[in-house]
Amino acid sequence: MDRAVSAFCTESKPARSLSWLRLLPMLLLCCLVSFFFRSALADDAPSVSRTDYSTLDLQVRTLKKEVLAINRELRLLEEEMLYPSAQQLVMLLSVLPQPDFKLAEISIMLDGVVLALHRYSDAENAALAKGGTHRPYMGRLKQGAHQLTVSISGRTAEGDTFQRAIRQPVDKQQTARYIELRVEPALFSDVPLLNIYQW
Amino acid sequence: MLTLLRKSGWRCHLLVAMLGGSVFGGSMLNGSMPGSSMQARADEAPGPTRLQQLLSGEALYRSQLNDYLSAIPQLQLAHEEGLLTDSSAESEVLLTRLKLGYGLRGEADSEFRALLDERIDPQLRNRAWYELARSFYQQRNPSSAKAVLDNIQGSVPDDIRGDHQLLQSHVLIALGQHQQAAQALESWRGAKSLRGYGYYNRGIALMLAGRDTDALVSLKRVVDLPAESEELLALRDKASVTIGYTLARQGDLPQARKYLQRVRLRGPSSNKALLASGWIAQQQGQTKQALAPWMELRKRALSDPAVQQSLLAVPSLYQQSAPASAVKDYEAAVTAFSRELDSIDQATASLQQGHNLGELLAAEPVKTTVTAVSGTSDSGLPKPGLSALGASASRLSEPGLSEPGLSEPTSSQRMGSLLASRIFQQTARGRSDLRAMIDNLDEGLRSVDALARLTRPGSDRIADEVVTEEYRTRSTPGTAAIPGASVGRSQAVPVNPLVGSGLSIRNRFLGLPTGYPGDFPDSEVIALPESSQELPDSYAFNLPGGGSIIIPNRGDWHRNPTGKWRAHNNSVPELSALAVAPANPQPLSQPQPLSPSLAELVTALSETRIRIRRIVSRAKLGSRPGGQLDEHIASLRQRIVLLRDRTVVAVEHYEQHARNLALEELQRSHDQLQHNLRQARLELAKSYDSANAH
Repeated sequence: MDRAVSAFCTESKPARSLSWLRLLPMLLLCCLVSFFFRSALADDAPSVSRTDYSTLDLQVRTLKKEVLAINRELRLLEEEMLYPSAQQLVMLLSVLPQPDFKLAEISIMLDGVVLALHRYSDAENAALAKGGTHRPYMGRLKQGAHQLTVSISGRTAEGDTFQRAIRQPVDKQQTARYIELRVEPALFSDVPLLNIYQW
Repeated sequence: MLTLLRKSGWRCHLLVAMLGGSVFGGSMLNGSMPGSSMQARADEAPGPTRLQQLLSGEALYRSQLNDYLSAIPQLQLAHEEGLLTDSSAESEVLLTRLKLGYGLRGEADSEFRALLDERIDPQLRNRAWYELARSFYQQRNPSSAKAVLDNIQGSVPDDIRGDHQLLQSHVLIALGQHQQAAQALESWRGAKSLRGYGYYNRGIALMLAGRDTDALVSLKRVVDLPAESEELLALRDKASVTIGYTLARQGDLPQARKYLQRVRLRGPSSNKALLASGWIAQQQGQTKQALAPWMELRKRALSDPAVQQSLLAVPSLYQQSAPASAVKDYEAAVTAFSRELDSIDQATASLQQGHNLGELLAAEPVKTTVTAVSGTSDSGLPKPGLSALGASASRLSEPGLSEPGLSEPTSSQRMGSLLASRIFQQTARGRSDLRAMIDNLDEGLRSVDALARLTRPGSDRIADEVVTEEYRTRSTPGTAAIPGASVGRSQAVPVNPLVGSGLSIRNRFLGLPTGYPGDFPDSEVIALPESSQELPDSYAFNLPGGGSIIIPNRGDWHRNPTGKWRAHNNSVPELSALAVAPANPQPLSQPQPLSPSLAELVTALSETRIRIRRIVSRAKLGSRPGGQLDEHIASLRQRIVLLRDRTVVAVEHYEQHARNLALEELQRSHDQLQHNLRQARLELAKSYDSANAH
């Protein structure tokens, strides 16, 4: 019996008798189950490496904080130097909920000059659909009256391509000017509307 | 009218909204579309409120694209500038969620505890708690995850209901509270597509709680679910194997075998199923039926312990009746185990000498097999079940006649479980991301130096070089020439932790039988597809009120970068980029998967570099920085240098960590093989004795 147990589970001295073979099937099954659970338990064993990884993770988090701080300073610097608030012009694109609507591209012209041309990826469309606002342009603008022209193209829920364009005057004062380019559903058409709001 | 309304779809919502009904109630981040309420309120919101919504939406947009390093400072500065006063509590929650998405769990934890009170909409509150708990759990901190989950009260948003249940069960199982874990999954409330994971996890929890009968009921529901995707087929296989093993343990061998035979022959669970099928057939006294799965199994890669077991199992069947054949097969097993041990020892020595794991894997020759049989177990496509082997049983039943057909594993196969483990993947990607980060830091330093030189007279030439290089390096179609525009299409973007479950699809079910899902492959990182839609050369738009404009697409933009558009340069600044837009944009590179933990750093450094260069560009245009900027630059430079040094150290730590993980894995394989080698030698000795006796 002892020798039989050892057939697959433990080491033992060689034996001439073959009587252990009769008990082999049951013992093999025992071995199978123990093998199964042993390998599983090995996975569960606490590992020093996992602790090490926590240290690494902490290290990376510290680096991240530092990068965040540097980036914040740069952003401040950028705003102060490049876009002083008196001259600042910011365009923000928002999309109101429209099932399966895809925005392909936006073009922005100011006084006949192309300011921005952006093609939207699927990820960007998803971000817009989730309530995100895209900033297609940020720059400086002289005070006074200007003419803004915005055009968009895309695909409706039915799969038809569409294009929309709008022209509107912009009056730049001594403060920062935020312009919202809002794509919103039309009441009696599949093609969405494009409207401009100034804040 | 009803038909019309049904056809109108989303327009009905608008109609309702216009009639005064509030379709989207609650907070800004409520529901599956976090910004939907914000959008719906766009018409109602007064100017300042709408502007706040837009600014918060911008941070949300960036975070959806995993650009946390732009989103967080942008929102912070908006707060500081007083642009977000009306909905400050909600925008602060958003800011904290961004920090959490960025991986700053500690900060997010304390801030959430201060923020998430009755002022916040309950659904948003629960979503935030869920995200924090998930983050803790993913970092193998189930105790903290449990403490955070306990804060969730009331209903959970629909889109995370199932994930919340699964997370609860994972956390409770990790804490050893199996009964409670099973209770958490008692009634599935999540999406239908995830219910298989719910049933499976409940089965495992019940099994761990010692309630095998109930566990089997739950697991059988998984097997009976319709499955078409590879993920669900793999889950079904896993459930079948678990049922088979449990029934075998209970002594119901016919039923156990029936379930094991349902496992796909090439699925990831097939090795375990083949091994168990053989054992059960053997116990039922059906030697020929036992031989078939084992013969199939032993053609596969030797790195799998099940395959090693099959090398010992096959000759055991005819040790008595045909000892000479058994001797031959045991000799083959001894040879195979010895050879494999040698390979493992060589790999171990190589790592101990300081070689990287990448070098080791690269040095390994392409998989060589002794036979022509391809024996890998994950082909990915549904294949016939193990029962198909029955047909070939007679062909395979002649002991000792067929060649063993051993398959020599490559290093990749040998360390398959390590390479597939989440912790290793995090480490490997972290290392490569940090290296990329060092490159970005170097670039940033060069830019800062250029900026510093710009403050000195006669530095225009340097600025020209820097600016030109900037737009060459950052150019991607559609965005290269647009200052301030976000990074364009074709960027590899990891899945946003704020979106959806965030749990890897594989992490939705548990390992067997411990239930702790620590080592499943990380599938959280994907590359987003590109839109292949080609646009026409130009667009003609009819403007309201008459007239039309023609706007060329990007192709024309690049072909005529210095055309008439530049003539109006005086009216609007920031067009300098047009002059340096590349004539022939480089082909888009293939998206590379990045570690969620470090990918943001790489992006951030890249963004930082761009920012510096933009400032350089501005300085070149004539707005020379003053003395304050000099100090800023000097301090910034110093910080970047320090950051670089620390990053170099972190890379070394990552490499060492990867080596340690590999050494641990090799040691495990070594021990297993050594045990099997001893066993093979022992059986060989017995077979010699038997042969002599005959």
